[in-house]
This record gives sequence, C-alpha cells and structure tokens, in this order.
Amino acid sequence: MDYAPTLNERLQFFRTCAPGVISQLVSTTIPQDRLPYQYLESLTDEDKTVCFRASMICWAVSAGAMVPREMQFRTVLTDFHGRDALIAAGTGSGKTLPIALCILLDNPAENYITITISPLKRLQVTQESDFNTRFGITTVVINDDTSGENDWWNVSFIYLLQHLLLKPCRPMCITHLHVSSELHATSSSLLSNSSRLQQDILGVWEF
Amino acid sequence: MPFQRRIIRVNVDEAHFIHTAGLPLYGLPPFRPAWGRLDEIKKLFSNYVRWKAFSATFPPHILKTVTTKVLKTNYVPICITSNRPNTIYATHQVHGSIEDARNYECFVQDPFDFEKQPHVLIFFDDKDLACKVARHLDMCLPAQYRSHGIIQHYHSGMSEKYLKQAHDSFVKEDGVCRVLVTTSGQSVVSLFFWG
Repeated sequence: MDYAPTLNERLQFFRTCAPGVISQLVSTTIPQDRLPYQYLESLTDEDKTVCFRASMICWAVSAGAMVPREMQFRTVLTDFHGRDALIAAGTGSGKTLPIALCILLDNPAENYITITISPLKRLQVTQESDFNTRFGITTVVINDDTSGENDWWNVSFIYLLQHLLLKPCRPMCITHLHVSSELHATSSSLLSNSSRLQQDILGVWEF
Repeated sequence: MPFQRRIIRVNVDEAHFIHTAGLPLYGLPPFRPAWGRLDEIKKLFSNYVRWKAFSATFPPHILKTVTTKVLKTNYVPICITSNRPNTIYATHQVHGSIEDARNYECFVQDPFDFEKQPHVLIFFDDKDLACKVARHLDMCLPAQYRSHGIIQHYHSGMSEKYLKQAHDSFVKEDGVCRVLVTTSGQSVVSLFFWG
C-alpha cells in the first residue's frame, strides 16, 4: 500500500528537500501560467528555491486553490533574509498569505512564534479561524475580550503556539499582568519564561 | 528555549494606526496610546526579529512615523498599486454646487433601459444630500419606473430592516435597485461584496 503522508509531513518535505527536487515539483504540479515566472527568473538560485518552497506549501495548504503572487514572494524573501519590510498594498491584495507562508516556512523544531498586531477584534476572530483551519497554524488571539481567568493563562498550548494575534488595548493588561506574575511563581520554567513575556508585552499595552 | 527568544517576527497590520491612533493629534491625546509605543516593544526583542508593517495608507507623514517606530533603517519597501484591472477612473465636471442633485444625473442611463442600467454606488458625507440626490435621480426615471426602488438611499438614519432590504435589493441577482446613494455606512458592506 502506498504511504500517504500527512499534510505536516508534506510541508516538512517541501521545506527541506533539495533545491532540484522542489524546482521539479513546482514545474510538474503548478500550471505555469499561475506563477510569476518573469519575476522568479530574476532571482538568485537560493531565493528561487525559497519561492518554490513557498509555492508548494501554499499549493498544499490550499489544496491547489492558491499560489503566491509577486508581492507575496517578495515579502517572504525579505523575511528569509532577516530584513524588515514595509508592505503598501490595498485591501484584498492578499496580505494575510505572506504572513502565513513565513510561518509555514519556519522549521517546526525551532518552535518559533510570530506576533501579529492588528486593531480590529472582529477581524481577529476571522483571522484566528483562518490561520488555524485554513493554514493549520496554531494561532491564539489576545485582546480585551480574552479571559482574565487563571485557567486561560495557565497555557498548555504555549509550547505548540506558532502565532499570536494581539490587539493593543487597556483593560486586559493589569489583570493579565497580575495573573502572569502568579504563574511565574508556580509553573515550569517554560511557562515562567512565557509568563515573563506576557509581562513584557502586555505591560507596555496598559497605558 | 526561553519564550521571548522564540519570537522571530512581528507583523503590524493596519500599521497606519501607529500614527493615527498612537500619536497625539490636533491637540487631542492619542486615541489608542499603546499603538504609539510599539517602539518600546521593539526594544524588548532582539535585533534579528523581523518587523513588517502592512497598510494601504502610507502618505509621507504616516510613513515617517511607521518607519521610525517599528522598522530598521534598512527595511525593504514593497509597494503594489491599489489600481486594479477592472478599475477605471473618470472625472465629471461639476456645474454650480456639488450639492446640486442634477450633477448626478450622469449615473442614470438616458434614455433609461432597466436591463442595461449598470449598478452604481454613490458615496456622500451627508445623509440629507444622499436622500436629496436619490429623490432627484428617481424623478429622472421614466414615470413607470419611479418609486420602484431602482434608486435607493442608504444611511445610518434608516432602520435595520430598511437597510437590509436596500442592500439585498442592490446586491442580489433578482434585486431591482440599480443606484444606491449612500453614506460611508455602505462602504464596509460593499467591500465584502466586491472585494
């Protein structure tokens, strides 16, 4: 019987396979007219490989519905090279996709976390569900609707967390600062480190 | 790994908020001061954390605030046009006052043909003006088409029920509304419709 890898296993393969393999995969999987080849051809081999990995990951998580466009590739490459970026693009131009692709390109073994700051709670609800279900990225929203209960903040998900959606706001901070200080005294070192971060981030929000 | 060192990147969506909500403006205190203090968060993280600022609104003064507060000096600007292949700009010379409802007759076909009249959305700042223009355009229709909801107004002074009916009549395939004269209340809805 054929071995059927899970989505996560496929993604890991796309992240790590040899440049020649990923290039071959792209050309046999994604119809040529869907990718901006003129742009891709202008890149170095290393950057092209990153774009091919992003393309296959995008193709896999969207079941063939989506491939990145030039703006999205450029954003991913800027991230790959460790640079900051200013993305000026209109509503509906697909700014969520590069956020997701950068996360999906991270090596899961590194346990990296991405923070996304946005102002609209209603939008955060949609985004949280989008990231979790559509892209399979473990995402949690923290805003002023977030529970102040210890249980919520006694976060067993923290180790798995990939993406934190934050809204800077006032009322939550003092409670959570308090709660996370309590956690600091009682939990494992992993959690106490995370609690420390909550203090750092949320401490600034409280003004 | 300590939690804080796990942070690899920070995305700031609607980054113009750093300026518009985070700074004191026009003699008023900041609307959401936390936005103006993202630079303090940035200092907590190591230099390799990548920051990205996303927005469609980067005029020079906002750009300056955003880049100063959250981006390293060697940041990469990635700009794509807001123009779309199906967007066409046109200008229409106003006669007299912009509040003269006759200036808006150009949005209704003449001679009027219901089947060929395109869907038109007209935005106003002012409810009264929106109503006035809607009434006038309705009067421009041939008598048998008037008061049938082909031209409708849409603003926050109307009931939820009316607004839903007007919206549905404009967006649904079997709806009769062809020209919706609206205040910004419709802008979010229309984004979802066309976006």
